Amino acid sequence: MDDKDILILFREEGKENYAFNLIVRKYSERLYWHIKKMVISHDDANDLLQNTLIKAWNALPEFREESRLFTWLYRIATNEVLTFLKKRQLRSFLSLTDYSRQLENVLESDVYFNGDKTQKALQKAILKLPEKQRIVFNMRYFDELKYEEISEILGTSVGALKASYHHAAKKIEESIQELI
Amino acid sequence: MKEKINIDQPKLKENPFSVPDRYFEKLEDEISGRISHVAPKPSWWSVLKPQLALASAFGIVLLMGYGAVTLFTPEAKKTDPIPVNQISEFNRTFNSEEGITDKSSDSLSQTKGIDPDQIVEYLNADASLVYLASLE
Repeated sequence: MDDKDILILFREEGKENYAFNLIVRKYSERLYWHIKKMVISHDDANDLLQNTLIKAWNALPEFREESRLFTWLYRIATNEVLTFLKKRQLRSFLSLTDYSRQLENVLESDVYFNGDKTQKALQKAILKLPEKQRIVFNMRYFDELKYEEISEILGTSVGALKASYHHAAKKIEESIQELI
Repeated sequence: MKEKINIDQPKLKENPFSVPDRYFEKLEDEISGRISHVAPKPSWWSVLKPQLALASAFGIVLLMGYGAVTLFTPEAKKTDPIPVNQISEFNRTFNSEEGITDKSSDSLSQTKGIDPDQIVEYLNADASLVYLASLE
């Protein structure tokens, strides 16, 4: 069922829950990976995903389809992640570098990481980037979203996103050599 | 020297993470359980709609009442003021029928001079009446 049909179903009385479960089934996996790559810990990713979905449930009656459902959900998830990371960083009085190191430790101890040493080096290199650049890189590199879609999600111009991605890729290529 | 890593190689783009067993199925159940207790917050339009309907129904009833009152109440006939030329026309016709000439009808034009002695006499007579009234 496509998003339009799901939204029509959601607006029918008594069908909200069923329609929303369809949305959860369709998008929760993509949203989970988007969040997970930013916070690394499974428990944090799970909490943030649940918050994202509950916020979407509450805000869906107001959704006017000015953007696509999937970009709207991504935007909620991204805001949740950025707020979470900022809070964590402020609470632990850590600089960006120290906080990246903390995330690297989480990655080291993550039982759900099954990659090889190059993949681990790539993840660590990504963690060294500033948050916004990290989000842009992940969305383009792993999720293979178009710049126009990322622009819709983040509210940043396509030109700025392209520049941000190329800077990020360059930095990653440099630091990945040192990490292997 | 270390070999340069090409980050565009497909192997690196693969997802290196996994999830706990049946995680996404459990998540669906958990979310389903959480939303079944809470109805989605109604939109502002769905909150405002019944109130607007009530207000417009009240307005329509008020309008119909006003219409009924104005339609079925007998209205006092409005009379337009008679134009001045019609009045003078009427006077001319009336005077000619009654045989009154302009000269005889206009008493003011025929005022005679009043004797001052007559005025004094009149005032004195009036004053005495006041005096008599005060005595009573």
